[in-house]
Amino acid sequence: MSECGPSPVEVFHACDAMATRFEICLVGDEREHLDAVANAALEEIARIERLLSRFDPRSEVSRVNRHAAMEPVLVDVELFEILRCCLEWRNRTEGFFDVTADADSQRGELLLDERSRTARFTNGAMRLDFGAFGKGYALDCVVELLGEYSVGRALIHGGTSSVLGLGSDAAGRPWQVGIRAPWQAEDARGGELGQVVLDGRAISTSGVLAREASESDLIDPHLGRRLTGQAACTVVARSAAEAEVLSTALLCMGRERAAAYTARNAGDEWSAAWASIDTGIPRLQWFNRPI
Amino acid sequence: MAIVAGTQQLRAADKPEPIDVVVIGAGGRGSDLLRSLSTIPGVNITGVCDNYPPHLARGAKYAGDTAKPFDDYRRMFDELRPRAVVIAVPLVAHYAITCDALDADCDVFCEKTMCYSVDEARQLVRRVESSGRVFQVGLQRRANPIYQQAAAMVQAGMLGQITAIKSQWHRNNNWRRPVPAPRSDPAWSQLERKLNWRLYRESSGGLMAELGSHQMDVANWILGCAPWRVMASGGIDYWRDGRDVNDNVFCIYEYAMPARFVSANNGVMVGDGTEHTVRVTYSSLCNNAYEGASELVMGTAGTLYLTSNKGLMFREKSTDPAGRLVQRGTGGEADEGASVITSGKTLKLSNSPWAHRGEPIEIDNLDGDDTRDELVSFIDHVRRRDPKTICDVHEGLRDTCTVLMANEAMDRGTAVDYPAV
Repeated sequence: MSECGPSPVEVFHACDAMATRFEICLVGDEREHLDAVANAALEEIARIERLLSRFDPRSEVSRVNRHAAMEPVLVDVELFEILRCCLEWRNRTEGFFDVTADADSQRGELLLDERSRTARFTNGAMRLDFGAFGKGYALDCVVELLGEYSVGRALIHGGTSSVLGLGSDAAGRPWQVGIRAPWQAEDARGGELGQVVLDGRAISTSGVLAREASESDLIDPHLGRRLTGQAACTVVARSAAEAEVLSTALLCMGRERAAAYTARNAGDEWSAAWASIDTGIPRLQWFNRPI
Repeated sequence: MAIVAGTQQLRAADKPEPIDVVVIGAGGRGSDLLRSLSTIPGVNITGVCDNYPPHLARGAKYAGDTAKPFDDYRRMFDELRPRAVVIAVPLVAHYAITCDALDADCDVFCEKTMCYSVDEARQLVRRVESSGRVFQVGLQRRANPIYQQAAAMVQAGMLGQITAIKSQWHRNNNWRRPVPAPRSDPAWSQLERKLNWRLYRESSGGLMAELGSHQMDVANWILGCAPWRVMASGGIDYWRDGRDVNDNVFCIYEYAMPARFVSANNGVMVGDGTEHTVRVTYSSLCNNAYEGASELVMGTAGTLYLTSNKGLMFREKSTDPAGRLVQRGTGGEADEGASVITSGKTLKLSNSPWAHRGEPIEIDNLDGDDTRDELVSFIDHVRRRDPKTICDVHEGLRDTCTVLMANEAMDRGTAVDYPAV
């Protein structure tokens, strides 16, 4: 940042997608450019929703969900790449991250055929659900787009559960994200369990129960059951998709297994923390040194 | 009401005849088309062409391994000899590239609006007809089950006599694509004209051509004819950033409906047997997105509210049998056959401003994406060598004329008649 140059401008944009709100703050020299880039970023988020939403009958994922139990479905290059990546994550997380996890049906297999670029289900009740991947993936795509247009300072989030920071804010301060447990009220002052600085990093927090929810939206893929109890897992990683995948998988593993998994696998690539309420006071415990 | 689109999921075992397709233009829309084409069984995307390297790289990625990248479409035609060409380039180049593709013996799918000028559109009709090739314009609401259902409902008389349509595409953004260079960079101006071609008259027909074309096609389709006259007003009212196309447009079109508006499908007669005028308003804004992109089709018996993923039909209150006056019966009892019952309690109506709407009949799109479906239909026509596509060159001409007459009316400040074609 030049000290004698014009003071940086920041723009704020937002859109509703993936059943939540995405917000973008971009920092740079030229408002018109930042506005145009922010618009392109919001369009990119909408495009990814149109690709991955299982609630939109027009999406690629809906097309796969409708037909893949009957026959191999030809999918586009991007979705095939995402499916391959998600299968890889399934293997790397000992099966605890699974886009086909379902509470109501037997576990089936997602079969990918590289040569014909097709996807198939082995079980008629199977459905793809990118609820624990799409927001992070969208943030990563936005980061790529920001790079193409030389925007190096940004804070973006999808529904606040996935946040990604680049560079610094308009005043030159690092982007700081506070972590609050999902059972804490939004307006609870001083209730933060910790803070993380994000520069080229993403953070994702997964909680078993949203505030005032009676049933979790997360499913243990091995048991085919919704998670119960209350806990939250936070992961900081170099990509938002990775952070989202890992926070979901670790939460499904449970605290002890998650701690052991982190010790074995995280290295300097990512870090994980666990928030629980079992001692009465919510606290955050880092499994490894924050990256 | 639930509608399942015409999209056929071809079984892998059916092995449709492979069709070699190339795509020219890999910007935003071209990428959408590429992604959709790549999921249609039997389509071989053999080439992608764009003269802007970042777009070409992105297009080649979406097209998959079988596609060869080109920066010159004529070389691509010579080398690949494709069966079909999909064109998604700036409006000003539609005509020339379509003609070259026809000359190369290709079937053509060209994005809307079909042509930059009425004259080009007239000539293109002759070129397509003499070539005998399959030709389709990318007005994808033609492939959307909601609009197909709406057209059928209107033509079957479910809305009574149509007197007006209100259509709009309102957004709240600057309609700019980012340019990967600051304004101070000497390369900026050229990149700006290339990437933001929609904002300059030398290459674009503005909001009417880019957005209005879709919705005026719906009006032409539902009403079964073209407007005879338009009044319009527009200006650059908010985004004064160097663009020279309007960012705020309002049009009133007049359609002269024939005395008998007879459904093509079942012969039901709609209307009272006299000639009448249907007035269609169209507006597009860039600084307020209330009700977004939608059409409201108004008839004596009901209203259709249409968007690409949801349709609602509201019955008119006067035809709604919820009143309290009853026809008197013929029974002998004193309380039997009363015309109305009074009870000392005033009938309470909701004071919600939307209460007059009542409960709608819903039209859902349960299956399919209209961009993919229009391409499935195009490829199917190519395979069967059937020139009767869902939006042929005549529809394209009518849509081009409808769009451009409004632009002319805005520029001249006078009413403009439909051009003689």
